[in-house]
Amino acid sequence: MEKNRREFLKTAGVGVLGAGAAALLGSQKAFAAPAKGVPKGPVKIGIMGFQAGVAAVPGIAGIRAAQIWADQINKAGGILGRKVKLKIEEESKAKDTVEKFKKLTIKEKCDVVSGILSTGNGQAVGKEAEKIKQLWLSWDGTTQKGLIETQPKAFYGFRSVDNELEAVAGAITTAKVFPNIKKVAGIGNDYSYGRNCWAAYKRVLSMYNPGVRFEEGIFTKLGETDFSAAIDALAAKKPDLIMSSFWSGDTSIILKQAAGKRLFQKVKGCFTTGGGVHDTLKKEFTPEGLILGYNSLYFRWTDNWPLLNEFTKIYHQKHNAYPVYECCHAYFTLQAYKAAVEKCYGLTGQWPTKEQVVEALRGINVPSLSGYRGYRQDNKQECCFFMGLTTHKNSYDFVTIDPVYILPSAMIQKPEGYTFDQWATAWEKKVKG
Amino acid sequence: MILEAINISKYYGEFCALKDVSIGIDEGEFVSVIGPNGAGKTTLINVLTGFLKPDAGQVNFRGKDIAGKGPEELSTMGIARSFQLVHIFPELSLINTIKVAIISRQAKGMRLFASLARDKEVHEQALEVAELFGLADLLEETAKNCPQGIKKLLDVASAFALHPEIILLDEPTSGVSTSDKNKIMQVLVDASKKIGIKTVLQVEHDMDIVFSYSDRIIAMQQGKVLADGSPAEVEKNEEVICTVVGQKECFQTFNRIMSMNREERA
Amino acid sequence: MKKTGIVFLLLILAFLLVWPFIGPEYQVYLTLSFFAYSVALLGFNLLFNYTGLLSFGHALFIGVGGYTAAFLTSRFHIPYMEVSILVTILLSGVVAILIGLICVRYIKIYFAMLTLAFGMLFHSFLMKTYHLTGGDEGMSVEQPYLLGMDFSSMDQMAFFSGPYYYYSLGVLILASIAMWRIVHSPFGLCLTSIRDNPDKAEYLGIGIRKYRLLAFIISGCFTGVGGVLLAPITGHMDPGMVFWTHSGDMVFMTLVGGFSNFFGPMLGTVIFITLRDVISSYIEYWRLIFGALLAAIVILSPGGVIEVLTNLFTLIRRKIMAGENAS
Repeated sequence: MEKNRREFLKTAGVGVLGAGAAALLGSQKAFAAPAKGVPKGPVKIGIMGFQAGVAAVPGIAGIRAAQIWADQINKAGGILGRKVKLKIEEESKAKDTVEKFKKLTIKEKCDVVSGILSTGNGQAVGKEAEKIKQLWLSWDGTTQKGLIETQPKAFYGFRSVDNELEAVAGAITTAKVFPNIKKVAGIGNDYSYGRNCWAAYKRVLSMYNPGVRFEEGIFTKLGETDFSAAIDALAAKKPDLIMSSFWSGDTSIILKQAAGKRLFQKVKGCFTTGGGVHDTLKKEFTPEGLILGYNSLYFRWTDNWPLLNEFTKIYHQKHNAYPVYECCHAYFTLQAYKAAVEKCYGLTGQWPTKEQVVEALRGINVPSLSGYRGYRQDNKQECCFFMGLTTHKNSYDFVTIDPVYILPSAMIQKPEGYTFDQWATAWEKKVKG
Repeated sequence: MILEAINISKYYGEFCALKDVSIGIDEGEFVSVIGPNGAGKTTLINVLTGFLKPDAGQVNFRGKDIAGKGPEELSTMGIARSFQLVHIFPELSLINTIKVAIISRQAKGMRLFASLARDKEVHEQALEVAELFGLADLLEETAKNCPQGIKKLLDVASAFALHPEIILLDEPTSGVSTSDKNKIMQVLVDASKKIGIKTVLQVEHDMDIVFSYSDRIIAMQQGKVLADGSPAEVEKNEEVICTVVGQKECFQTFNRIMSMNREERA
Repeated sequence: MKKTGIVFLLLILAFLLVWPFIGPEYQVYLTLSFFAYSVALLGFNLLFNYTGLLSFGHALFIGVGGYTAAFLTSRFHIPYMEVSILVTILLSGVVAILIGLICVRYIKIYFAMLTLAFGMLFHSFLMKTYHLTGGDEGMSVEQPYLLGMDFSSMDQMAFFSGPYYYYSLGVLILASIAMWRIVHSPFGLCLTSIRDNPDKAEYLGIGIRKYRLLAFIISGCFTGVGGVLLAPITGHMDPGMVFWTHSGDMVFMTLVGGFSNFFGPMLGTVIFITLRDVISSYIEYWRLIFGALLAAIVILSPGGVIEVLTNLFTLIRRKIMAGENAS
């Protein structure tokens, strides 16, 4: 995190030196005159992520990924010969976030803004993007309501996957690997995301395990550090499995505190998206055999995807950590933008307008860190969910998963025009036959 | 009887500060309360002005029971006081301090949108009080920046500005140099006459002042009333004088000093 | 008010009137926040400077104003700004009475802790009643009608640089005049006497709880109106607006600007908004800089930046006059 500012200044510094001087730096491909029909000067890309608070961990991960992407792209000659310049602003509460979004658009004149993690901010920025006609590619900011209920006419805003996908993936995996469980207890964060995940998990698991009973969900404050009461409450319910939708520091803390009571030695677990903090799930307190889900990026998915392997190496070198989901979301949005611009240019011979980029983004499919990813026609992201059982058989001090089940959002995300309830009802009918 | 305390007692835990104290003040009297430190003088004032509620007994003002009524209510009934340790409003100017009392008296405190600066009535009355107390040259000075003597006068002046029926002064000349004490007492007496405050009760240590100005003296010791009478009566009470002065032998000395002072003044 | 003060104010007003025509679009947009926070701080400082009570939960009233605007415009489809303002004043008053009856029994640190607690209570309430308020996802605030006029056909930034800018400025001017009269009234003087010495004030017949409660109510209403002005700027209200750190921002602006001057908090707002805009783009540790700034002000110039400026101005004027006398 300390290197952030230096990295940013380094990138900015290179820009200041200009194209000719850049050639002297050796490994940089000189920014020769941009292609015909392409404006001179750098293409400004706004980046927004949390840099303080609970969500700073994924926020900063996403920002780092954007910086690595920008470095790689600039090394290869930029976008159509134009250097990429990142303008980073902090995400915080809605009012300030909207202000910064406006600043990136109106003052900095960014061509696109890539970022945003929080649901509330996603609502506010989504509306704003339409009002000021700014192209916005969201990293996260999921909501179960989907665009139908909140923004039926979204044009400039490209949203992340829906809120409940991790839970749906978790439920399907639970049904697959633990078909005989009878009683499930759940714990999540006390806000829309936590509640939506519990509701979705119950709904989907019930389809495949009709006899399963659910205890009342426990919801703790985001950022809670003492789970002793919650752990006792969960144990008291005597479940066969505990489902948790924790996505931040809570995950490792509850595992640590539960280890003292050997809770997960006795009870099975499903951490729908605990993979987001995977390198804090140390082997000492994370037993094997728990379901662990990784939203969109599992860094050990395969050794045969160079983008992932190369990125993981650079990320680890720079930041002494392993990449997480936000890295893939950030990387993907930037890849998609570049591809859309290039696609438009191929058709028109001109640097595209924002409206043209929107049309090109819809239905696009680009290589990202975790394989090919794209945008649906309704401006919704697509990605994969990597689910598996925790294992200690690796060379790290934290757990990984084996086997790895891959569930693409194409199969577990409600299609365009459906609310979650409508879609689940239709799915239930299918399952019941 | 305008203000009377009937068999009041006050305890601080085990310690008895006032025991069965009964006193009465008639309208128009200038009464001094004397006694050594710890005699209960300030506690008596605090009970009489509603700052403390007595554990037993009654306090009546014009026949009404006022025991335990807060100072705010008592001030509207006509009882005002000044403090032993000077109480001022540190950030307010001298004239504004006096204006607070006048605004309170005229019930203008809840006027949110009236201009204070343009209220001539309040301003003139404040000026009058300030002049009575010799503060007319320092009207715009901030209270905290004034010397102790001025602060003392201000404390008393703001209490006077309430036009109370009875004013209780807790050591009005303490902390003031001996040469100024008489000046201050004269100011108090003159101001009382001009404003129309007929009844004064003061706690005072300076015997010269006490015997010169009082119509009646109440001597206290260890929470009890030792003597209650005219200065002439109290002067002759050896027990009272020795208690207040502290030593039996000093009774003679006391008499000598008092007669010397009377000769000087004559 | 001194003549130089009036001249200065008129100059600033003239500048504000032409600013939308000469200033960059984004900076003009930021000025809207300045107007809203200035109104909010008029309320806050009545309590802090004039009554001596530090509230660490005043963002609660910004929330009352903002959520009122959200409910009225997006739920009940009543877009009139004036209705939002009036309903907010009413609701803020009710909330202030309920909270104030408890809080004004206490002073200093206890008052601060109680107000902080109530602020966070409201935050929890907003988060928990998600069926009503949207919880963490918040609520939308639709663009209001100003003086009955619908500007929805206008481009958003043109609306913010035009009608909404001048409307907010108008509200700020009216609010400032009202508060100026209040603090220079007999009521204002009585408040300061309670601030300086509550015991003495009581002995002069001032009912301290009554006055503190009324100050709290007026304070809450002004801050609520600030919240109504703030809401349409974002177009969204979320519980983050009533989190205690937002109350802390208000304390910060007041202290840095200078609480003992009527216009100090407004200066603090300008400093806060400008600095945050400039610094946060370059340094992710901008909060550290702000902390250091606050420490510097408290240590070197507790009267705030406005005291530094007024001292400077006095110094310059003296030098000019000395120069004139010499010649």
